[in-house]
Amino acid sequence: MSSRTDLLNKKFKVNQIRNAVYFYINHLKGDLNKSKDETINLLKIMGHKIALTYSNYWKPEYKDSLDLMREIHRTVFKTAARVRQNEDQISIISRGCPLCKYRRENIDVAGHNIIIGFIETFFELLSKGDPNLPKIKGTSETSRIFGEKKCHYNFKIE
Amino acid sequence: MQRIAIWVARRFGVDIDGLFWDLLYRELIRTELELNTDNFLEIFKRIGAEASLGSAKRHPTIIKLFAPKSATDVLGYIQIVWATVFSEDLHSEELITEESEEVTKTILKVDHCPICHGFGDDKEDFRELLKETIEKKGDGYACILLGMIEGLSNYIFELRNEPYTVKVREIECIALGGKQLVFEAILRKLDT
Repeated sequence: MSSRTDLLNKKFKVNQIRNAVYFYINHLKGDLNKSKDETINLLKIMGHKIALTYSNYWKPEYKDSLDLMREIHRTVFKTAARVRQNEDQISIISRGCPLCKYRRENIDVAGHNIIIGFIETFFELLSKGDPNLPKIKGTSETSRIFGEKKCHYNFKIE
Repeated sequence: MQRIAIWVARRFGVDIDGLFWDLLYRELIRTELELNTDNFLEIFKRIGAEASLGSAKRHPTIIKLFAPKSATDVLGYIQIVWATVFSEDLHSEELITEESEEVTKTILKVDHCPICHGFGDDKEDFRELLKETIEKKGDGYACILLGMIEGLSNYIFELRNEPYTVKVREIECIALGGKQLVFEAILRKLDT
């Protein structure tokens, strides 16, 4: 029987699952009448649950919060995001956000809210063994899905 | 020709970590099952179909040129979707193929299913919920993936103006306790 360890560091194509996430957001809003905030919350819960399982299989090596943020984007999302800290906020700018590549019509929620939920929980789980790692809370600022050139999301250090 | 289609799909596709992909798939299933106890299977198939169409419609010429030449080559469509998503070839065994004038039924066995890989090993997994919902409706955990196969196949038929439609259903699922992934594809000729 295979285990999930075999999937770590294997590369799958994100194209179809990204489309699936987009159609799922439309389904949540259109068919299930979820509000924008409820939809964002559901996507973040998805990221949260992914992180709970993912952390059983991957223990990253990092120097500090910013290094960990870069390492997550490199290893999990296969993209080199720009990571900056300004006082109590970590800012992420990504040209290659895997869940928001194309501009979509009639949508006001970015797929990368799943990534935000994942990172929040991943930090929280690691902080249990590393007191230097802060708890963070993320919000989406802009997304390629709305026609912007880059995705931008921030994490407030709590 | 089909190898070229697979090569193109791999070249233009964007990578993500396989474990994240697998868990994102799981969360799409879980979220829907927790919110919708009614027509979830129809939604999964529709999401899968729309997901593969979203990619195929961006490259109609490639799809038209390199897709399987024969409309009844269901295995060919399945191989393209599999290779496009998982960056690996499908290693399957054809168990049954029954052909009549109107219907072609193919049953395939796949020993290695990346979607069910390790399902049940972690406490966030939900085998009981799957049994109470998807299994009761006669399908399996790979239903979104099978929706992708249906969507791509039906799009190719439409592009080539071929009077067929295909339905794919999982009949043995590793996540539900099966030994392997087994699914049947039913290709039906439409009245013209």
